[in-house]
Amino acid sequence: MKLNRRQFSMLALAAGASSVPAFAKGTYPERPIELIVPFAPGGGTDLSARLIVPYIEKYLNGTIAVINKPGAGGQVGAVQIARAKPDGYTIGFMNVPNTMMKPHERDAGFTVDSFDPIANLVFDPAVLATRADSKYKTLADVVAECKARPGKVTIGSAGIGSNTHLDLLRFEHLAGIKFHHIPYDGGAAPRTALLGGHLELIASALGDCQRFQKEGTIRMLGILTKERFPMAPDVPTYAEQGYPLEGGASRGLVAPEGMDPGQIAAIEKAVEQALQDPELIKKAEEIALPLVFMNSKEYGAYLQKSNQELAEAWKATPWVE
Amino acid sequence: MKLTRNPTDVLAGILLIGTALAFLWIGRTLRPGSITQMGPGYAPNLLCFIQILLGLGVLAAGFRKEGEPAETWSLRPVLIVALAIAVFAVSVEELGLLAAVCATVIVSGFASPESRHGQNLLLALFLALFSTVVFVKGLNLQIPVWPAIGRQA
Amino acid sequence: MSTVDGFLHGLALAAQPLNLLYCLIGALVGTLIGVLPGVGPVATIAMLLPLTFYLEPLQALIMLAGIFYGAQYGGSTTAILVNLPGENSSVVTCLDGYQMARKGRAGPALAIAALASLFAGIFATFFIVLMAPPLAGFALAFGAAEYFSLMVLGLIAAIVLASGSVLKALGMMTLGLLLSMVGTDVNSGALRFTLGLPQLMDGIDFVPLAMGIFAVSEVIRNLESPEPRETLKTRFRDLWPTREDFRRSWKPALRGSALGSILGLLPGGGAMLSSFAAYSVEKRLSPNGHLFGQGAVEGVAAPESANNAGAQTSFVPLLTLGIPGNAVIALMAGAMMIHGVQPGPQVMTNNPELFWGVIASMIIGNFMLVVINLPMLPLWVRLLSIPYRLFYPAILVFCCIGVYTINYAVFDVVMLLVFGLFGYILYKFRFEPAPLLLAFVLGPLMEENFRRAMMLSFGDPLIFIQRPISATLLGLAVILIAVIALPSLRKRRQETFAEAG
Repeated sequence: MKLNRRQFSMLALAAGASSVPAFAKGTYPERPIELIVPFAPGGGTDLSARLIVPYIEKYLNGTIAVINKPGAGGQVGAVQIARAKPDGYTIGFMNVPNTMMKPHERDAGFTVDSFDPIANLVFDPAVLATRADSKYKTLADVVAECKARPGKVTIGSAGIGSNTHLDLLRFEHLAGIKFHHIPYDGGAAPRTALLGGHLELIASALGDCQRFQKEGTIRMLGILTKERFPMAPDVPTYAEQGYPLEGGASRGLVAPEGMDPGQIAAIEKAVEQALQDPELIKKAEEIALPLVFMNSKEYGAYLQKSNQELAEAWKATPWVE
Repeated sequence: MKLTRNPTDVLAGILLIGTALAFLWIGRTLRPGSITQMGPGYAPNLLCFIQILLGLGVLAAGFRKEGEPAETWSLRPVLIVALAIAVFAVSVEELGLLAAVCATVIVSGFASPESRHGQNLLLALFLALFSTVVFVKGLNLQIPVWPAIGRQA
Repeated sequence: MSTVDGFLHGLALAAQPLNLLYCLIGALVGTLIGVLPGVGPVATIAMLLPLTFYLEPLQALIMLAGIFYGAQYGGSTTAILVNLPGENSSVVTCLDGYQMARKGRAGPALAIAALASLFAGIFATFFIVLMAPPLAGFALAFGAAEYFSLMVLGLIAAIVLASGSVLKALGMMTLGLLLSMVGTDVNSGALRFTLGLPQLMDGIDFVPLAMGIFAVSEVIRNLESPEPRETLKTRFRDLWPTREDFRRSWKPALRGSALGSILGLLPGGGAMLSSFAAYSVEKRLSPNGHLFGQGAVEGVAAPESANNAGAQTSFVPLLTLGIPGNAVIALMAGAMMIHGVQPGPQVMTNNPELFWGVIASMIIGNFMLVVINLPMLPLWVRLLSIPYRLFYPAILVFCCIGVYTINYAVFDVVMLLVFGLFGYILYKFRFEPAPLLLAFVLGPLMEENFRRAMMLSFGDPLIFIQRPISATLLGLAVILIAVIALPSLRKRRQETFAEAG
C-alpha cells in the first residue's frame, strides 16, 4: 500500500494528531472563522454552505467552521449573527426572503441594519412541483383543479413565511385561487411527503427538485424566473404560462454590524475567486446549485431593496397572526 | 397520628402540580386554538391539565397508602457540586480551560469528606493538562486555554 | 447486478488496505468522541467534513460512517461505567448497564454491549442485502399520521421503562413533553416558555438535560451515601461474561436487531426509538423482566443491538431515496454532495460500488470496534477501581467541558447545573427519569405531526385510524396499554381478596 504525501497528512489530520492549517500571525484570519448557518444540516442552505466553504477557505487561506443554528425560519441563527462580536470571526448566512421576512412579522431581535453585507453566493429560483405520475401537467391544470375544489388542493411549503410560502400566496392572489397550505420545516420534508403521496403539490426550489426531476420521480410545473433558467431549460416559466411572477431564495454572507471593512473585503474577495473556480462551478452544476455573485455593495443594496419589498408585502397580506 | 402516610409521594404530587401550574402561567399568552386548528398553546395547556390530574393522583396515593419514610437530604454535596459547575461556567471563557478545570476540581473536592486536598491538587493539574491535550489539541475544539487578559485579541 | 453480487463486490472494495485504514480511523475517532461526554458525532462529522474533501467519496463515507457507529459504541461505554449518556441512544443502556457496573459486573456489561452491537451490525447488513430494494418504499409510506401514531406507541412503551408507579411515570412523561416545547414552535413561529431568554429560542438541548439528570445527580447521590463499591473485588474471570450471560442475551440481541433494523428505516426519529422500544419489548418478554432496572444483562443486550442495527439501516433511506433520517445522516448527504454524488435512488444504479462499499465496510468496522475495545475492557473496569473521591471531580469536569463544547455556550453549562439539581430532586421524590427523556425527544415530532396530520385531513381525526399503518400502530399501542394495565388490575384484585379474606 502506498500513501502519497497529501493522503498521509490528511490521515494525520483525520486521526486528530495535528491541528488544522497554521494561521499566519498578524494576517486575517488568525484563527478559524465561525460561519453560522441558520438552517438544519442537510437542507438547501446547509448543503450550499458546505459545498462552497472549502473553496472560500482555499482563497481566504484560513479555516471556516460551519455551525448549524436552525429554528424559526432562520430567525434563531440570524439573532446569533446579529449579536455576535463583530471581530471578524463570526459571520453567517442570510437567506432572502426567508430570514429577512422575520423582522416584519414580529420583534425578531434583528433588522436588515443589524448586519454588514459581505457577498451573495447563490440564487435558487422557486418552482411549483408535483409527483411525476400526477395528473397536473401545467399551471393551467392546477388552476382548473383549484377552481373545481377550492381550498382542497394540498400544497406543502418549507414553512410559514418562507419564500416558498410567500410565492404561493402571490400565485394564489394572481390566479384567484385558494390552496390548502401545509407548512413543513425545510425543503426536504415536504418533498418526501410529496413522493410518498401525502401531498398533491409542493412549492419548492429548483435546487430541491432538480435531481428528482432527472430521476423521473418529480415533475416541475413552472419556475419563477423571468426567462427559462439555464440550469433547467426544459422547465417552463410562470410568465410563459400567463402568470408573470418571479421569486426565489438568495443566500449570501453577512457579518454582525461593525465588522472591520478590511476583513469584509478579504472574505468578499475570497468568495469572488471561489465562485470562479471551475471545479466548484462544475460541482454546483451537478447538484443544481445556481451560483450568483454580488459584491458587498451590490449585495447591501439588494438586501435593502428586498427588505423594502417585504415590508410592503407584509402590509398588504399579513400571514401570521 | 401522622398527617401523611407517604410523604415522598405527597411531595412528588406537589412537584407535578407545581411545575404544571408554572408552565400554565408562563404560557398564559399562547393562543390555544381548536383541535382542528391547533395554536401554539393547545398542546402545552392540554399537557398541563393532564399533569395536574396525575399530580393529584400521586398526592392522593400519598395520603392513602402507607409508604417508606421520606428521604433524608444532605445539603453539602448538593451545594458543593452546584458550586463546582457554577465555577466552571463563570470561569471557562474568562480564565480559560486550564484555570476553569483546576478551580472546578478543587471546589468539588469539598463535597466529599474523604477528599485529600493534596491529592486533589494533583488531580486538578492532571485533568487540566489532559483535557487541554485531548479537547483543544486533539479534537481541535475552540475552547480558550489561557485567561482572556493574556490572550491576543 | 444482484444485491448479493453487489454486496460481495462492496466487501472486496471495503477490504482494500486504504479503505480498511479509513474504516479503522473512523472507528477509533468515533470511539474516542463517544467516550468523551458531550462531544457528539454531529459536531465531529461537521468538523471533519472539509477534510474529507481530499478523499475519494468511498473513503470519505466509510470514515464518516465509522465515526457514526463508533460514537454510538463509545457512548455506551460511559453510560455503563458512570451513568453518563452522551447520546440519546445510550440513555436506555444506563438503566441496566450502570446497575451491572455497580454490582461489580462492568466487564460483562461492556463485553455484552460490544458483542450485541457486532451481532446487530451483521444482522442489519444482511437485512439490507436481502431487503434493500423493497425497503426503499417503506419510508415513503410514512406520512404525518403514521409518524404521530408511531410516537404514541413509543411513548406508551416508555411507561414500561419505569419499574415503579405508573402514575409517576406518566407525570414524568408530561413533564418531558412540556420541556420539549420550550423554544420556537415550528407550525406558527411563536416563542414558547423561553422566559425572554434568547438562548432558549432553540429549545433545551438534549445533552445538558440528559447529563444533568443522569450523571450529575448520580454524583450527588453517591456523595451523600457512600456505599461500598464492589468493583475493587472484581476478579479477572469476572471481567468476561459467563455462559449464563450469553444464554440470556442472544434472544434479546436478535429481537433488538430486528426491531432496530426496521425502525432505523424511518426518517425522523426511527433509529432514536429503537433502543427504547427494544428495552420495553424485552422487559415484557423476558422471564427475567422483574430484574430489569437492577442490572439485567438482557437490558443491555437489547437496546445496544437495536441502536446499532438502527444506525446501520438509517443509511438506506438516504442511499435509496435521498431522505436524510437524522442530523448525522444529513451530514453524510452533504459529504456525498460535496463529492458530486447525489444521494437518491440513482446511487444504487449509478454508484453501486459506493452503496455496497459503505454497507460492507460497516461489517468490517463493527469487527474492528470489538477488536479495539475488548482488549481495553480490563482497562475500563480498572478505571472504576480508582477511589471515588478522585473519580467524581473528573466526571464533573468532563460533563462541563462536553456540555460547553456543544454550542460553546456558558448557558448550556448553567442548564447542566439546573438539570443536575432537578434530577436529584426527582430522585428524592422517587421519580424515574427515563420516561421524561424519551418524551422530551419524541415531543416535538409528536406535536408537529399531529398538527400536520389534522391539517392534511381537513380537521378529521379519523385520519389516524383510516390509514392502515397508522391504525396498526395505534392498535399496538392499545394492546400495550392493556398488557401494562392487566397485571396491576389482577394484582389489585388479589389484594382486595386478600383483605377480604
